[in-house]
Amino acid sequence: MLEVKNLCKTYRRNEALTDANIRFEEDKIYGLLGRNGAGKTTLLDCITGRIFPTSGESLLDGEPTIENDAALSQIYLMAEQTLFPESMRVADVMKWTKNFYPSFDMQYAEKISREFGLDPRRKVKELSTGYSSILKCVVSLSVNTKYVIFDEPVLGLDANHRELFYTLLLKKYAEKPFTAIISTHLIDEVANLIEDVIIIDHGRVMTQQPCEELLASGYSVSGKAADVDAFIQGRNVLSIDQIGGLKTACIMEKPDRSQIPLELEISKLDLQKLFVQMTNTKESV
Amino acid sequence: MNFSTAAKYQFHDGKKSLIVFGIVMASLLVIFLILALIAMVWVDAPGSVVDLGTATDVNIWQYMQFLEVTSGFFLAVFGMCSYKENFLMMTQNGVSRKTIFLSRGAVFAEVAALVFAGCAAFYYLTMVVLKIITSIIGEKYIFSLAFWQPGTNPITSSIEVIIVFITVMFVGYFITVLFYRMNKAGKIAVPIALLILLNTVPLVDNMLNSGRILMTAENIISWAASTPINGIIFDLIIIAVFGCASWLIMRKAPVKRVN
Repeated sequence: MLEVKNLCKTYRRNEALTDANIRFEEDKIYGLLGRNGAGKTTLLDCITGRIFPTSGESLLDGEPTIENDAALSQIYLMAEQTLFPESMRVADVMKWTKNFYPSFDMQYAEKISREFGLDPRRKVKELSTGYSSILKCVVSLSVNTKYVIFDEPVLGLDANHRELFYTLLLKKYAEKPFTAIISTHLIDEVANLIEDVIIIDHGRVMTQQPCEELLASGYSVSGKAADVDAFIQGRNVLSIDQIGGLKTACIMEKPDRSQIPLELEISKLDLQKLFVQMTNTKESV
Repeated sequence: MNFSTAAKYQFHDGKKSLIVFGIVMASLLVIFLILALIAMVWVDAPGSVVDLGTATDVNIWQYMQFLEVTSGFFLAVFGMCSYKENFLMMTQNGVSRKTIFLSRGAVFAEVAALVFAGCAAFYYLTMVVLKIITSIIGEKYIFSLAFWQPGTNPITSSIEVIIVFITVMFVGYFITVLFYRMNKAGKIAVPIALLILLNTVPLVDNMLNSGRILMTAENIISWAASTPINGIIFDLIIIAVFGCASWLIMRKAPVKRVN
């Protein structure tokens, strides 16, 4: 199991990550969600030792991950930025990844490269933003480590390639389960993939729970403004939207249909909506 | 596993520049031989105002020194180009900083031995070709196959050269690691400060200290240059200092945002 304990990262006076405690169990797909600058990349960089936490620890099966070759060989982080040498060819990137990670499946990498239309003879510096992401996706999907972390994996990818990536990820996971941690802003696209959700806001872990459980913990009611106002009295309201005389309120509690008046319409929150409401709270208050 | 792969990768990364350097040195060797041929056949011909005599034989080991110095400069630059790309690539592939540093040291030793072997090969090749030429054109020029300056032990001298090569690579490595860790202001400030220091220290030392600092430095250098063993000891100290300093700087080096 991969876990972070009381992890803090401070840049001068700016606290990027505060007391983060997260557990990543084996063979699960996690969604790491947060707004820009929430601390997602900082967390992932700390786990893989790309930066050093100010305090706290990151452990893999009880062993520190930072500066630990054995632990690091079981974690692969596909970062937002490309760290491969610019003058290296795509085929060489794969060849060297195979050297560092013997479990890397070269045949599979070549196969999915063809599906993505990635030319192995191209140099890294010649790749567009999209194809740079594709290269990283191909490598990450082929590396076969116990933990694969995707930080904005579909950055710059068109809809077709994004769809292909999600399909390949699910297929790979179904064939040989592993722990995938997907950090992304495209919540709608990953909502159906992820089993557990971790939401980070302003450097703090807001929640970590199964996606279904999180979605079941909120709902929205809409109807005439007066009816909605009467209903939301004393409830944990995340947000209120009003268009003309119609009001919609997002409520953070398990819906009890017997208590909801018939004139109000109740609907489930989708993950993106819930995320937006949860992370908007501070600004709207 | 990671150590050998890291070393293999770092060596592979520098292979191209080593090959280019080898080609340049081979070209210089050809030029040297052509010039030698011209000198022996045309310039030093009977009736010419230039008489080379047999001086070439006495000073031929200086050719080796030329190879050494050129290689030293190349290796210092090689050391300076050994950090950023390697560090990023290996961090991407789950290699710890400690392994990166240790494998880098191993690669420096490997490269130093290889370049030294190249120098020796070039030297002997030059000598053999010169001997062939002289055997054809006459016996006036006698080139010895002495690899080293007369009177020195070839084994310790060879080790000294290899250690010197490792030293210059470590110095280059230290500079590049230092620059990687510094921000823009630091990158400007350090060379300026160094320049000021190099100019003011001798001045202040001469004015206020009767030049004792410079004298000590001179004595140390003279001691190091006096015998190969002293040279080896001196270089090992330099390697230890710059190696430790590089490690201290890089052990907490973060992956910087590059795009």
